[in-house]
Amino acid sequence: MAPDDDSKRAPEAGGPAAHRPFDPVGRATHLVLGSAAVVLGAVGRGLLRLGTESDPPGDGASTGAAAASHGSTPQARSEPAQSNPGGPNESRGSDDAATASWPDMPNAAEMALAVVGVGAEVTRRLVGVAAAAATAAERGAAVVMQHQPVPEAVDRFREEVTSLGERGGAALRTSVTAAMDYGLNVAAQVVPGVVTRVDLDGIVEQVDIGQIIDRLDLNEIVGRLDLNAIAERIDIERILGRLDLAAITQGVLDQLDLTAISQRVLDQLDLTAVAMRVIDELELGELIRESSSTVTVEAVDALRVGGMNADRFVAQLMNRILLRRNGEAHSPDGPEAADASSREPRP
Amino acid sequence: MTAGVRPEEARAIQGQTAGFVTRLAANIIDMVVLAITWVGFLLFISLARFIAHPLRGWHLPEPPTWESGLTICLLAIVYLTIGWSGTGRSVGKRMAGLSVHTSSGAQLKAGRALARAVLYVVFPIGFVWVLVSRKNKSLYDILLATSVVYDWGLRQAHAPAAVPEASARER
Repeated sequence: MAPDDDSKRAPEAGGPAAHRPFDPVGRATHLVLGSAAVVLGAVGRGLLRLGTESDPPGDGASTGAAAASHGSTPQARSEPAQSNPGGPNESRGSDDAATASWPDMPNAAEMALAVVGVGAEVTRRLVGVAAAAATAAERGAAVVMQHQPVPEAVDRFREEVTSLGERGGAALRTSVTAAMDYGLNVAAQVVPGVVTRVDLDGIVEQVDIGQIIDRLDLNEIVGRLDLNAIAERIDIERILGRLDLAAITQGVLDQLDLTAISQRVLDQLDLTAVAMRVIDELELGELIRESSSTVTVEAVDALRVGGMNADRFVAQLMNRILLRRNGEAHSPDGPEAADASSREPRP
Repeated sequence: MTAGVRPEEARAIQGQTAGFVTRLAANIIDMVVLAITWVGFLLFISLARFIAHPLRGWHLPEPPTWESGLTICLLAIVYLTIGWSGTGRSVGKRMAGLSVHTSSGAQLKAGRALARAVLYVVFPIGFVWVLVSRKNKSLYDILLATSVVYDWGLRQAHAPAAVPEASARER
């Protein structure tokens, strides 16, 4: 019943069973039960044959009825009569009595076979019901497994857990910071006392710096250093920005005896040679000549221009004093003079 | 300083007879040069005397006035003669951008230059005739047929055209 029901309901239900057209458990159960029924049938037929063979002679009617009901041959029905020749009348009389009292009563083999068949059918149905129940339980379990009955609660729980984790991390960091501060405060309070009590001078005096330096291979240490990388990391501008160059320069100048330094430098310098070399390099004579000639030429030109303008002014003034017309007097010599003289009025 | 000086303008006046102010400036410069020369001459004499008689000490000679005047006049005549007969320019005229030529534009010879220098020194007031002259000529120029023209060295100062009628009329 269960496989038939599954095959009929699965397409209609559209549930998980539709995705499982083959049910190996149900098939195996039916196979076992079918096999058991075949075996029981074979056993029942065996028992029936044994029961037929062990029947008494007086039971010929019944045997004949059974044989008739089971399709036995007339030969088989005649064999008991031949095997019991002594008293056929007595056995036939008892069989007739029994037949008369229980005319349709099945014999023990048929009863046993019926019981086995009923048992097999009951077992088959029970197994089918169990298989259907198992399938339904599997479907329900799958639905339960795939369904999250309380997603919001889970999300809230997850958020709470995350929040708690973050709060825990923050609390841990705060605690570490507080612990470090506390430790530094303690160190700040403790270290001065320790330093005042410790005789650092005595300790330093006991240290043999020379021996330490002798043990150090400074060449190897310096050779390991990547001076270029160190130099690239140094922010010169930032260092210079922090320096108070004015104060440093003033301090240096205050400590320096510039007069003595200058005197010493001058004593060591051959100023004459330096001056001669500078003059040779500069070609000072040529520079002086060029500059002086330029200045002289400019001054002379200015003087000449001023003289020309003054000449014109004086000439015009004299023309007015002498009642001359402009253009008649002070005409230049040369080609222009001829024209001017031609225009000169004749007295 | 020479920003206002245009070469074209300067070239246009080359060869024209110079006016009173320019010539006066040139004469003043020549007088300064003569004065410096005179002082140098006195220093040279005193140095020579000091070298010859160092025990007498260093002192400038104090010649009589006539002697000084005569020496200065001779010095001026020599100086002007050399300047005008050579290049036509004394130091003052060179600085003022002038040169002395004959009326035909030729260079002065030594004789005419000497005569002009003597007249220049003996009768300096003759220079004032430039103010009156219509062609900017002094008495020396009129008497010796010379002319003082602008000559900055920018070009060959062209010879002033001879104006016989004008010269005759002035005379």
